[in-house]
Amino acid sequence: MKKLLTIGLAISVLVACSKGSFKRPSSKGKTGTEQATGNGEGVNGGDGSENSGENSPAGLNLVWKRYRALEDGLMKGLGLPKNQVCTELGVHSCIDTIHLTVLGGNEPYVSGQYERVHSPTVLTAVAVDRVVLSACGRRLEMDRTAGTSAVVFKHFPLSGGAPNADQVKAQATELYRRLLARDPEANELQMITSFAGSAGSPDKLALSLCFAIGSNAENIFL
Amino acid sequence: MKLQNKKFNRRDIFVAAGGAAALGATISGGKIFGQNAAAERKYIFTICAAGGASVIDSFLAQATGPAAFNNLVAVNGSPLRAVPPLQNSIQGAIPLGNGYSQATFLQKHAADTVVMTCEVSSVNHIIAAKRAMSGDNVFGGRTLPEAIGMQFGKGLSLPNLMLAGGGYALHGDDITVPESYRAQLVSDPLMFALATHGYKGVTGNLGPAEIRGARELRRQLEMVSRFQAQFQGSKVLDAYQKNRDRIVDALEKGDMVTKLMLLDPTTNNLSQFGFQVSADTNLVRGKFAGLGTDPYEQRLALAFLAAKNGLANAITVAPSQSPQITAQGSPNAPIAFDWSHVDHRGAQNAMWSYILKGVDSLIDLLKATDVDGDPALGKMWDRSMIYIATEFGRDKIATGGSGHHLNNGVVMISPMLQGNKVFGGVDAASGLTFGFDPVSGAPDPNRKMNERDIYSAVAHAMGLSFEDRRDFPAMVRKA
Repeated sequence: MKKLLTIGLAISVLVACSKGSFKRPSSKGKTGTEQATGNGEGVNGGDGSENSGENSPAGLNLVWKRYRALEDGLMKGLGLPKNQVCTELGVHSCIDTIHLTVLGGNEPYVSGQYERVHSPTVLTAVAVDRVVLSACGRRLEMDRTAGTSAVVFKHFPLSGGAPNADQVKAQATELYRRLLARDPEANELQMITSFAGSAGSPDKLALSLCFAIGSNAENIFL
Repeated sequence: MKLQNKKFNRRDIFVAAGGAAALGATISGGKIFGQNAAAERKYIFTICAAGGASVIDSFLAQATGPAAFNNLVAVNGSPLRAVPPLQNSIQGAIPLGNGYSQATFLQKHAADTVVMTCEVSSVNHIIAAKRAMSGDNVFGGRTLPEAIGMQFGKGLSLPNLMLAGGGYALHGDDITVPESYRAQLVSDPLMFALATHGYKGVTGNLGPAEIRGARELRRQLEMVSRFQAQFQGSKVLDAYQKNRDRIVDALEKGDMVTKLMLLDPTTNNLSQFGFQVSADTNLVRGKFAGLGTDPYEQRLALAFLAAKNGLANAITVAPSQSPQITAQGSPNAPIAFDWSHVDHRGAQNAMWSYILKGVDSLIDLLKATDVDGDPALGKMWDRSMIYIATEFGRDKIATGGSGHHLNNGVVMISPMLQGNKVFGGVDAASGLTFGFDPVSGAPDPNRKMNERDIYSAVAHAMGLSFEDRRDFPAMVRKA
């Protein structure tokens, strides 16, 4: 009986190894967090540690690109000076003051916020949208004025007829390289050219592409 | 300390069942409605009397003992006492205090006001502040705002708003609390409306339809990217995308950017950027005259608007740590109540007046406002709790500067409490407070209440149940 059990166990192990069945937990279905509270209205982003990988399976460590890194990326990617990235009401810095906290900074003197939040808050995405849209819009206007000397939006005219597919792909590639530091995949380009047909005028298409790529989660986490 | 496991009980299952029902709710008009969500709404406004607010320098002031006053005011036979405003100054140079009388507050609100004596467990500002919010982890590490938000704030986009800092703003230690019930920090209350809309007022913006299209493109690009495939299962990524795709939409549809707009249109280019002021601007400006310059009043105004407009139900407000110095002087002390180290009586007197004047205005607004704009649901005040949280007490003295002291009491104001009462007592010789019997309410010199008791009392009055809750039937007003 003992021999049978041992053989059975050995066979089981061999079968498991051959199937390569050591997989990461599926992300589908409820997490332990949702099971605990039964309330999926808000989603918990982790245990509050700086590194979200503390409770994540191996290989899923992500670092949040906080306010200064986000700003630097937009400045360098879109060729903008700091004061052109984003201001509220034309006066107040989005990054340094208005949205500082939700973008990962802290204001200790007036607000008494001695520590930064550990992970993106519910309002972080709102601020990201505003900052990226502002930066993209500013670059668009600068390139519209620059005409043939445009820096970023130079692959199709920003007014006039709709760009062709190659022009859209070239512009998308430019934005991927500048904002995500890589070339787009074929399926991503296909998605973008499909979108282009319904995006409206060329300048709105250009701005939409910049916004969609710049506010992509891939640009928020490292 | 992180609590990795939380013991579940019937109450948790009950909450989970209610939460599961809310999951099936729909988004409408910017709010995520569950069945009867507004009907079940209750509000907690935690006012952070930061720095150590001594209750024997306000409603529990004594005529005898080491911290005696010789000019106490009795109000309509109430056991609560009032200390008149002092003629005081900061270092003899800057007049200090706003002249608001504690007696005025009691004349209006004594019926709903209680003092609960206590002796806390830390004289460290950060630790003590956190324990004031978490009840020293009596509810598994959940802070009061987190717990009240989860229980009575279902369907709200940002149930727990934090307009305070330091230890009051720290998240609780219960890791099962969803992100949307964690304290959402607000840096600048006047600008907060801008944080609730992803594109309004942004120069060169796309219209709503174009934004929807661009966001959908973003979502689709994310779904096919190698980044997404690589990090599928990351909690932080998952949370970010889900919160972005759900709550941002609710905020924009609810037009919170307008409802919460407190900026003065005469000095800000609101119309140029497509913004409108809140319909309640005149209402709050009428109550908070210092709205343009005083952070405390700005925070109170935002707290009211956020609650009124169905954004939040657990809101924490603190005064600024900086004095608001004008030609007339300053209404508040430097470093709030902690200025007591330099000038105990002056700091306490000025700060209690400062805190209570703001709370007075907030209560007036809550009394005048229907829940969810529906007269059938009654006034917001009927469902509100104001908890004046503080870290600790001060030395029991009448002159000079005072240090931190564990012994103190807290003030709570709510129609859900047996108001116009002192729960506990004061030893005449030492000035130290002592506790009471939670059932009968009778003073008990051999007993001291602590942070767990304070948290439990608030919870009991509001109908928040959890396994380790201590009951305080003497404090709870019967329906």
